[in-house]
Amino acid sequence: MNKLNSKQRREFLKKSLAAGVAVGGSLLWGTTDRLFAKAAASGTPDLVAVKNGEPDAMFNQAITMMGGMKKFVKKGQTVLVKPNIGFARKPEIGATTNPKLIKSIVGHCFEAGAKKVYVFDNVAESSYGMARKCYKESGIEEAAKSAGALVAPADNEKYYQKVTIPGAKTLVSTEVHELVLEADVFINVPILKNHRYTYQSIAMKNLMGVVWDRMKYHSLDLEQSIADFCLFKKPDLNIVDAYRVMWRFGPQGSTPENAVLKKTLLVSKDIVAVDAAASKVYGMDPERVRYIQLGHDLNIGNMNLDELNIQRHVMGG
Amino acid sequence: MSLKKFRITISTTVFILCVMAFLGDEKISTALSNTLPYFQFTPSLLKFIHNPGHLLGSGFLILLAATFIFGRCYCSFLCPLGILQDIGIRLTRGFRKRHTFQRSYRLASYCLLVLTVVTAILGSFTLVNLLDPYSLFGRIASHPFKSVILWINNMIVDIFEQFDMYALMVRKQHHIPFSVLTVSIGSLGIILAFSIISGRAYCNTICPVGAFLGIVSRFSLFRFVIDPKNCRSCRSCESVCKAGCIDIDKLEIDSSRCVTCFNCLDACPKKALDYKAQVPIPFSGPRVPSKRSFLISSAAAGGTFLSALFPIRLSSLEAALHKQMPIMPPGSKSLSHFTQHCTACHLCVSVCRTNVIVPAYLEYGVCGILQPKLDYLQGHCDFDCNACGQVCPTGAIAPLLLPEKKRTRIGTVSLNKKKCIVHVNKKHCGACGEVCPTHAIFPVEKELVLFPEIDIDYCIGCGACEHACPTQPKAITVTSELVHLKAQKYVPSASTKQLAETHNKGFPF
Repeated sequence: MNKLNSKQRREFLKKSLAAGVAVGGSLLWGTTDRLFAKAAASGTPDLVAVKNGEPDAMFNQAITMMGGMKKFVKKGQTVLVKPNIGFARKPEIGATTNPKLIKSIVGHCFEAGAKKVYVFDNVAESSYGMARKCYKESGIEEAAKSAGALVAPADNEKYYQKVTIPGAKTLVSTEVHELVLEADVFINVPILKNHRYTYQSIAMKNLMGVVWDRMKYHSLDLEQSIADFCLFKKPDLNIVDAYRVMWRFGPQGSTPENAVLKKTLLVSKDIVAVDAAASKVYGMDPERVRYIQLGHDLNIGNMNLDELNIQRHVMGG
Repeated sequence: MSLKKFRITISTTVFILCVMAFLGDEKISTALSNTLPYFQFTPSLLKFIHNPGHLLGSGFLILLAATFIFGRCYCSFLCPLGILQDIGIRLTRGFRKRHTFQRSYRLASYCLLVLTVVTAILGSFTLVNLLDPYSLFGRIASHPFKSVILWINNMIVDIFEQFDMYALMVRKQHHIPFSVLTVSIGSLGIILAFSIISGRAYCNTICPVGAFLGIVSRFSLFRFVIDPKNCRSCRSCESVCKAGCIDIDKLEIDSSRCVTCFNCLDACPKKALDYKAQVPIPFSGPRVPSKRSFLISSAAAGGTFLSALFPIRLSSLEAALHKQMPIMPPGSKSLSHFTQHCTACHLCVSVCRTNVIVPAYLEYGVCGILQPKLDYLQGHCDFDCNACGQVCPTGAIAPLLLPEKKRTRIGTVSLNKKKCIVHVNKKHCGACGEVCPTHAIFPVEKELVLFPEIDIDYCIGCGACEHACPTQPKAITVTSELVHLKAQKYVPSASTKQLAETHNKGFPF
């Protein structure tokens, strides 16, 4: 079915239902207003790094150091939390974001007054039916739901809208999940892991899970396209889960023995900076990861960590 | 409860369960496929022939014994295609002509039965695939029926999603080639038209299972008899007889065509009809001249015997002629095993969670028609799934335990470096390597570029790489293995965990 037609049909459906049901009206208006929660934060650090704690405890600490979730999420806003659910792997493999962290983030969003929190990922295993397996196996669906989030599907083209990316070198246009366009706050929650074909998968790479046609990246120029996408949308907050780091056989991983406990959490508004820092946590020079360099060159963020205000905290120490 | 109502209760239940089995929900289908095909003639017969000790095979013996005792009860109680026709007949009751006695086309049906059996023994399942009633129903249920039901499901999902309710999920119908859809919708149309015009004529003229059970039921213990003293020749029974086997003029009932629906018992106002054991068992009078029947039976026996002796199977000829055969599901063992067990019911097609199993049309050549294959344009074979083997009612796809399935090589990968993005553009891609579940694809770094390389020892041919490959045509492809092999298990090299030691005290920045 034509994508535009399907969109129009959905709009029509939405409107006709809204006309009949009074609740529908408020729902329709509620999602269209876009208030961005970009507080002009003067004292906010550029990057917060926490270690030696459980995922949820480290997040509590990190978000406090960032000035609290209220700084990013205002009352009544809609939040999108985008974890990495790329593969149907158990959390101990280290291929997917830690479910405890997701649960904690969703909880903080609601505490800050969020109206709705959505969680989704367009998974890497592109065959039909794999998405629901990834959602389940990773434990993220259950964790997010238990915190009250709406786990939305992303495995059908009908959820995506075509956008153009001004200034992009290769990824001039792409189809983006409608929740990325509709949500007031976009929180990117990648896991730090090895990727055998791009060296690292962290925050910038995680954004491949909000577009429909991942293979377009691969066929154009994978790393340039990853950087290009950030010109279209930079997350309001990037939270890198480096609690359990898969150090080889990425991105899908092998056995739990191929992941090590690093018990680290990085939080930043700067997606390039957080990738550079995470890359160092893995033990790799960020300059080797081409898309970090490209992102820096496109002024998406700053990979020179020396120039940034970094707050560090070691728990229980 | 009258016997007719009893029949309707049982058959409706069986029909609903059969439709549910073919709607593709993995749990429901797996549960039902362990019980339903037990009572389906062709699947249980195949199990019985190939594996006499198997539990499913004893289903065939039970069906055979039931037919010897009660007549063709399978056709009215258990055959989903028969029940489908009964539903069609019931729904059009007001619009069509009433049933009348029909002449028997016994010769035609016996010839078709013999031809089906002989070609099957020779190694071509084409006629079995086309004519077996259970498989015919399976295709009707999993193509047109399932399409309609999923369409309705997706409409409902669409409405729910407007209100942020994600409990139901959009479900995608598996790919059905147009030619295959034509066959399943065509057969549905023809069989329904047949049944509306002349009742169970399909079952008594074309269906090989009907023909075989018809032979058996000529000797059945229980049968319908007309009491000449009470019968007033009102033809009430004849007008409700779907099989058209009641001849009121001669006060005879052709038990070889009777499907034991019990309609006549309820219809008779004088209770002149009875269903009871006849001792001694009379040889119900088929008026086939004895010479002709002798010729037919001896030709059938001879043909079957000769074809069983025939040393070359058509599947091996086919494999020799065509190097490229379709990729068969894991558990299929070999081309000859698969094509000589599969009745093309498409239960595996329907249950496949990645929609990678699709019906073939003529790709298996003379071996069979409509039997399933793996199409990597549609998806890949999920590493952690063995559902197709779990549901297969005939053993064409043997049930494999997951550890065994994960090492079963159904095809072999090859990489065309002239088309591969990394080799052509010297830019990273890794689409194939990041989804390969067995480490058959691994990266090799040359001048800061990570090139995909292949080690076929680990390849199981799941097609994840081919499905993911972004080039057109695909740079990485899988070709079929005619005999499934065992892949090696990848054992990662023991390597020191360098990461564990570094920077454990503070931060590296």
